[in-house]
Parts: sequence; structure tokens; C-alpha cells
Amino acid sequence: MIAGDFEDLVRERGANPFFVLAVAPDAPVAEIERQGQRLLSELAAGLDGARRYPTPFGARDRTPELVRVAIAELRDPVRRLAHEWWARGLAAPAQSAGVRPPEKTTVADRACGAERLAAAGL
Amino acid sequence: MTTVGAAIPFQPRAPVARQRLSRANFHATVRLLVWTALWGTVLRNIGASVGVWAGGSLGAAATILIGVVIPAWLFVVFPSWFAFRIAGPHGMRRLAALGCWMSPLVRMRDLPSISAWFEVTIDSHLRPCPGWAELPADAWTALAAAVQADRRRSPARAAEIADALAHLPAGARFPWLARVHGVEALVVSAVARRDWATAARYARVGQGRLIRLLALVACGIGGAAVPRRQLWAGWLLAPMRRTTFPLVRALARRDALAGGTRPALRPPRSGAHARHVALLEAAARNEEIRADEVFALATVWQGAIDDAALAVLRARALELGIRDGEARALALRDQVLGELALLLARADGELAGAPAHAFGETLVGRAREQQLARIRDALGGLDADAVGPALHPLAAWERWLTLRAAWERAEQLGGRAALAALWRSTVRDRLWSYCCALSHQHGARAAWAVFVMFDWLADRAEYVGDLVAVLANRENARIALASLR
Repeated sequence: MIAGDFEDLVRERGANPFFVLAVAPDAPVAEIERQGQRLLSELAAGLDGARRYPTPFGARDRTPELVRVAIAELRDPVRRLAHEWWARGLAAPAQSAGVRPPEKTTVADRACGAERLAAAGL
Repeated sequence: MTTVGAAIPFQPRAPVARQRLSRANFHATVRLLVWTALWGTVLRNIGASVGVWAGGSLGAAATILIGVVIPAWLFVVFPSWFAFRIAGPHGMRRLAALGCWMSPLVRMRDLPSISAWFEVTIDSHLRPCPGWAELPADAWTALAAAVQADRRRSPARAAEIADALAHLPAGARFPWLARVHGVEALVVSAVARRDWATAARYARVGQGRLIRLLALVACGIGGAAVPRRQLWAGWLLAPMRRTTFPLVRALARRDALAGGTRPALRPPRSGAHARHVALLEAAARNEEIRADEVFALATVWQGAIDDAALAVLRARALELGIRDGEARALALRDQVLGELALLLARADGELAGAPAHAFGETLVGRAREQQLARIRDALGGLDADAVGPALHPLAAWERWLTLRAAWERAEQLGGRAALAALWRSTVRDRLWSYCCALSHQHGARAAWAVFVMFDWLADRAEYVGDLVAVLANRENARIALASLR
């Protein structure tokens, strides 16, 4: 097992579609699609707030490809089940530390999400 | 060499060997003559100039200093110091090679390997070293391979080489200069990219003042308490003081601010999922992971992925319209187990803290299975029939490193019975034949690598209780060692 494989696993966890799209794990399909399209538009417009997304282990770069993959992943119920499980599990400690899971959808809320997670020591 | 089924006498190609020997003797004689002429002239000139200048006014101490200590330093230490501290770092390969040629600390037969090491460390483009195919496998070429692996961002391969060098059997040469300067290049490379865990791991192989200082800094940054006096004394004694000053100052200030009782760098995360990702992150950063950390995580998972949790997952699967919810839930549990097994395989330490619950036992079994699969995979590369002139002895040795790493981790995971079965069915005969083929193909060029491998084979045979293999491989190791000298 090489470090690169662990890097891939960490990257995979960080690219959880619920984190990428900044929607709650129980969000309905319509909301996921709407949020995905909104993020794609914001990225195309070059809005700074859309370029990064918070995760419980630090902010990551968001790209249009990542958003498209996230939408596609959540269309598949089997994959969605796995992503939901990880997203809920990873968001649980953040909630217990007073940090809400990423369910707000405005750019301003997403922008300060990383700060809130950082403030909670995550 | 004694092969598995029969005793095959070790027959080096006598005429070629004799020819090489006479050429080596000629070169050694020329080297000795040049030393004698050059240093004799230098000593005579120093003595004459100082004698004329002082006119008999020097005391006993000054006379000893000028007449004995300085010439001895010039003769013994200066050439290698110049080669490794001045010429090498400034990219002057030929001058560095000349410095080594002039150094009595460097053996004649190490010179080609040291030149190759300079080629590799100076060349940042990772081009294959010219003349590499003719070089022997030894500590210098192994270190050159480790530097290349480190630069290619293959830390696992570099770590395997460093670990093998740290556990060389008695008799396998690891020259002092290689421990100091060869390992230093690895440590500095890791420090340059702020990979402190790797730097500390490399530093264990080496010696020298700079390595000691960087190991101390790596420990300090890793969270250990480092006395300021020791830190500054280490800095004062070490070379590259200007480069290392900011590091040492930053660490000393941080320690001073924390008053010597620094808390852990990161608060531990709570929750099985978060702790799991934290451990994966640590592994991705090449940090050291202890087996008991993985077992502690497994204990947390035991509660987080129990039957009740799986029932919740099945219910959610139904909501999402998934038919085989049971299988999907179990697949997630299996995924977690697989990743934990990978972490356990990567972790250091034995099974002393293995949890007694079913999840922990499954985890240990899974990790053991993974290691056995790795052993079988590694054996695929150790084919005696494929050993030919094209396979460099060092490349052959590196293939064995993969097997060694997997086997030793499997030993730590307590798989003696499974390993004994694997030993008798494949490992023994295959590796044994591979070592013999390598020795017969490359002769003295492969002696260092073959000695190390035979010694390891004998140790493993002892572990699984194969007395015949122990005796035969000890004898083979002895023969390889004799041709190494």
C-alpha cells in the first residue's frame, strides 16, 4: 500500500457530492439538481465564493467537473446511499461541536462555512 | 551456491575475475603512489615554509598542530569534505569524484558507485545514470536508488530501501561516508518538502551532525519536547548552519512560547467517520501510524457499524428504492473493513493491543490476507528463469524488498501458520533459486545483494522452523560474503 492510495481515499472522502454541492444528506433530487446548476453558473461567472467548498477536514477546490460528477453520483441511488452515509457520519462531529452541516445554498453562507469549520477546530 | 535440490558449486568466471583483479590492483597501486607523492610534497612544503617563517620559535603544541594535526586532517578528512560539502553540492561531479579518489576514507571499489550517487543526486532530471548497468549492488547504489525513488514521489519504495539498509546483516558493508552523506541527501530532500515524518524515518539509518540535528528538528515538529540547549548545540556543531538557522530558531521559539508543555498539534476528532478520515490523512502524509491507533479506531467502528446501524442503512436503502439494501449495507461495512486493513498493514507495531471483539478479529484476518496476497504478488517478480544480464543486481534486490516488506508485516500480524505453509509451498524454493540465479549471473557485482537476501532467507527459515533451509542459506550467505570481501 503506498501513500498515493491513501491520498486517493482522502481525496474521495473530500469530494463527497454532498460537500461539493453543499446540500444536506437528505436533500431531495430536485434540490440537488437545482443547486448543481446554480453552482455551475456561479463557477462559469467566476464567483469567488463558488470556487471553494468546506469539508469537515478543510476547504477544497470546486471545479465544474467536480460538480458534474457530484450530480451524476447522486442520481444513482446505490452510490447516493454510500455518500449519504459518509456525509452524515462526517458531519455528525461538526454538528456536535456547534457547526451545522452544509445545507445553506447561498454563496455567502458557503463562503463562511469553511471559517465556521475552522473555528470549530475541524 | 547451494540450491534447493542440489549443491551447485559457486564458479566465478576465473579469467575475467583475475583480469579485473589485476586491473583493480594496478589502479590501487597508482592511487597509493599519487597519494604518497602529493601528500609528501605538501607536507614537505608546509614543513619547510613554516620552519623558515618561524625560525625555531614555535612551541611543542604549535609544532604538533602544524606538523601532525593539520597534515593528517588534510590527508584524511579534507578530500571527502571537499567532495561532499563543496564540489558535490555545486554540481562539480568530476571534482567530487576526484576528491573521493584522493580520500583514504573511500575504498577503491566504491568509487564507481559514489560517482553514480553523485550523478543521481546532482541531476535533478531523474535521467538514468550513465554506466549504471556496470555498477555493483551496494550501499551507495542502493542510496542512489532511494534518492531517485524519493524524488519520483515514491516514498514507499524509498522507505523500503531505507528500512533494508537499517537492518543490514553483520558483514554487509554500509560505509561510514554513505551513512553520513548518502543518507543526508535523503533526509535533506524530505526536509525540503517539509515531510518531517519521512525525514525522521530516514535519519534513523544515518549518522553525522547534520542528520542528528534534522532528526531533532523533525522530532520537535512532530510534537516531542526538544531541550533548547540540545537544539542549539546540535545546530552549532552541524554543517549548513545558515540554511538550518530559520528552522532551529522557529522551533526554539515555539518551544519557548509553549513553555515546554506543548499540547498535541491537532485535537483528536470524534466520531468513527472523522477519526477514520484523520487516520487516512495521516497515512497519506507518510506520518507514522501505530497499530494500536488502528485498533482503537476499529473499536469505535464496532459500535458505529453494528447491526442497528446496518438496519438504519437498510431502511434508508428502501426509501431510495434500492432493492438489495442488505447487500449494500454490508458492502459499506466491508469497505470500512478493507480500509482499516490497509491502515493496519501500513501501521507500525504488533498485535499486542488487538481488540477481542469480532470486528477486530475480522480486521486482523483481513489485514493478514492482504499481506499474504502481497507476498504472492511479490513472488511473481522473483523468477529465477528471468534473471539475465539485463536485470541489474540492484533492481533484483529491489524486487525482493517488496517481498521482505510484506512478509515482515505479515509476521507482525501473527500469521506464522499461514506463512509457514506459504514458505514451504512457494517462497522458499522460488526465492532461493532466484538468489542462486542472481549470484551465478552477476557474480561479485551481486554479492552484496545476494548476501543480504540469503541471510534474510536463513532468518525466515528459522522463523518457520525449516532447519535444512537455515543451514543451506547460512552457508550460501557465507559464500556470498567471502566473494564480497
